[in-house]
Amino acid sequence: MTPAIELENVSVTLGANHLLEDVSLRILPGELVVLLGPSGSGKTSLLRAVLGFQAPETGVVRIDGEPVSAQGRILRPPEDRGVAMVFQDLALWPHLTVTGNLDFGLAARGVSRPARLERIGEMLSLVGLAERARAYPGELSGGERQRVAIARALVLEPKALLLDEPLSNLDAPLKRDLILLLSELLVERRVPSLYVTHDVREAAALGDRLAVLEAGRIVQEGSLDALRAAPVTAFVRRVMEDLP
Amino acid sequence: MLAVAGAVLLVAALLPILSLVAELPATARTAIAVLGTARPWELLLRSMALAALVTVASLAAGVPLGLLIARTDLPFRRLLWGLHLFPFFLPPFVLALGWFHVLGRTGLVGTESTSRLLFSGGGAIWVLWLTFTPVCTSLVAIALLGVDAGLEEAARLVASPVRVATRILIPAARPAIVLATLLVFALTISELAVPMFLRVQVFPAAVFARLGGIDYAPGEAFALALPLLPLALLLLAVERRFVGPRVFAVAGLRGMAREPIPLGTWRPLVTLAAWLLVLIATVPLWVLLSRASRGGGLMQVPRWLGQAPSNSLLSGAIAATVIAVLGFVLGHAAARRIRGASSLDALSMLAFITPAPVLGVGLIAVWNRGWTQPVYGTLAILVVGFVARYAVVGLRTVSSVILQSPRALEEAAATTGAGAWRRLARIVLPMSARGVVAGWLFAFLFCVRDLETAVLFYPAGREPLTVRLFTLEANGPPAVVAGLAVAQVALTAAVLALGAAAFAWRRAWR
Repeated sequence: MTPAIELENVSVTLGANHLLEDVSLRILPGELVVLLGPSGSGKTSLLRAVLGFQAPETGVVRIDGEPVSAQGRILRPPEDRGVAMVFQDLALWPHLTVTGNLDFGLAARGVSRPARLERIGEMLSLVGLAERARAYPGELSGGERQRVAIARALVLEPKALLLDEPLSNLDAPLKRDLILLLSELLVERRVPSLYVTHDVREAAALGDRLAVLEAGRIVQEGSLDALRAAPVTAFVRRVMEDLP
Repeated sequence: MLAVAGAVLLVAALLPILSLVAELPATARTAIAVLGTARPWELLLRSMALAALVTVASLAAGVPLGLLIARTDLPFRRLLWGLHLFPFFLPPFVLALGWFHVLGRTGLVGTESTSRLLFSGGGAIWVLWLTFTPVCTSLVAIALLGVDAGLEEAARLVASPVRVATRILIPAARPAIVLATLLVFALTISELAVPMFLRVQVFPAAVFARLGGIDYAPGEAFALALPLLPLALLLLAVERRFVGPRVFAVAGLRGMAREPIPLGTWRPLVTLAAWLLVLIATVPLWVLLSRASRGGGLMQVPRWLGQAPSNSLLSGAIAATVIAVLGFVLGHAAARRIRGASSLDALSMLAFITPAPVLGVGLIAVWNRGWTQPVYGTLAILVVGFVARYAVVGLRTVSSVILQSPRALEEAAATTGAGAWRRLARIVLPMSARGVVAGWLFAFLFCVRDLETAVLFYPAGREPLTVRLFTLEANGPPAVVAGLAVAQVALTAAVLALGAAAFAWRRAWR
């Protein structure tokens, strides 16, 4: 089966710092992989390499089997990769309404206006924000903003979805609700996803498969049970101990 | 897009500078003859000394005043800042004229000795100091308003306010202080009208005399411009080393809402000193108004104005619009560190800090040709000159605003499939509209106050108001000249008032 996202021996450096070193990772269609790692481990660099904001010095990034970055070159720009992202700070455009935020990408892809409005309406209903369609991001609560960010990514029906610690700033009840919502949406739509977090509880609630990134290297990969049974580094052991 | 904007900047700003170098073989003999005498070097040293003294004096007043405005409980500090800044947006010559009506022999408080004082190097330093100090004040204040409140609060837990100011705040504003030093030095060394009016011999006047005066000798003007080129490159090197990548990013004056440092028992004395400095700088404006009213000058102004105000407004508005567009494209590229943007940013800064005679002579070399007369013989040459000299104003204003919006907003747009044009138009422009409008406004004000660049190449019969005022000063009726100066002040005040109203309306509307 062709992976939806594939990184093959990817290395990224910034000056003398190795942000990613020889990273290989595959995400299959319909699969949700959780990337777990401490701060500064290179999680964001990996996402930026997949998105095309950063060209890897060595290695290849493939989307649906097609090389999109290779050996220091961006072969396909971010806007043409069909990969959506939920950003850590959400990155909602403050001058556009909720509808405007969702509409922007659809219009850029040439979707007709009636089709856009229909898809936006459906998506907002799915995330429970139909009543807030005309609100600006500044007028929304934290949870509502989170839902807009998720809706904005999914409305595009992307080839793959990246989520960069999207729930890191929320309180526990809200986080629980949103994890539930995300699970439903991702399972229902079978969008291959890479979910980045440093919170093992989020990882446990969401992931089919976990990959642990430390100091720019994937140090362990497998199911939650496999990682719990045989942690290979002190970090993996510590985070697994945090699980109830 | 970046390539087109870059090409416009290269044609406007780099060609004139390169043309001077290209003219070298043709003018070598003249250059050796002119620069082989002691006089030009004496004038250059004199200009540099004048610029150095004005710069030191401006820093001495501007740095403390910037600190007072940004971070203390000085009463009415916003009003004080506005009043302090206003004279900077006027041609310095207008202020010199005002001081003439205060301290000149027939002035308000004038005597033989005050007149002697005014018409001297000291008088030129006084006028230019009052005009350019607001540059230091404002850059320092803006930098301090951008300092992370946490840094200051952490220091205030363990140190006195004075120690916090001197050890934390002022060092944090160091790039702004270096930039202020460069700008005041560059503006002073370019200044032509104030020293000429006050009978102080300076280098730019020697260049001007060979282009527009009875000593007409364009070859010699080229030769005289040459020593200023290395000076400009030196200033640029200092700017790139200490300032270049750092941008003073503040969103309006939100930092003013922070808990200010109390002045304590010093408050009355400091308030008096600060207000005195600011009010003294506005004295010549009131005296000009009074002089213009007394001799019927105001009544005669319309007759003497001719096309000058519309020349100023039209060339300024077109140039400011081009600068705003360039500033948007290049400012965005510079803020996001797109390849090539840093060089274009450096070029725009070079054109600004290059002494005006170099740019002026270079523009003449490029555009004073038979087939370019549609540009050189019309207001278009003013637009080209203004774009060359003031592009940096738009570029830096926009880039400082763009730097305040997270890069992720644009990246999010890219991940939705939006191309570069769509991202710029739909995401970057609406979010940086405030910066683009501010860039337009600043650029327009700089164009409308410009004399030192335009006076070298303005098209015959299409002179801007500043040039009209400067050329009439020698033989026009004093009341009318004062009236024209008042017209320039009124024009600037109206533009600033409209700009302030536009921003206030936008705030209210949002």
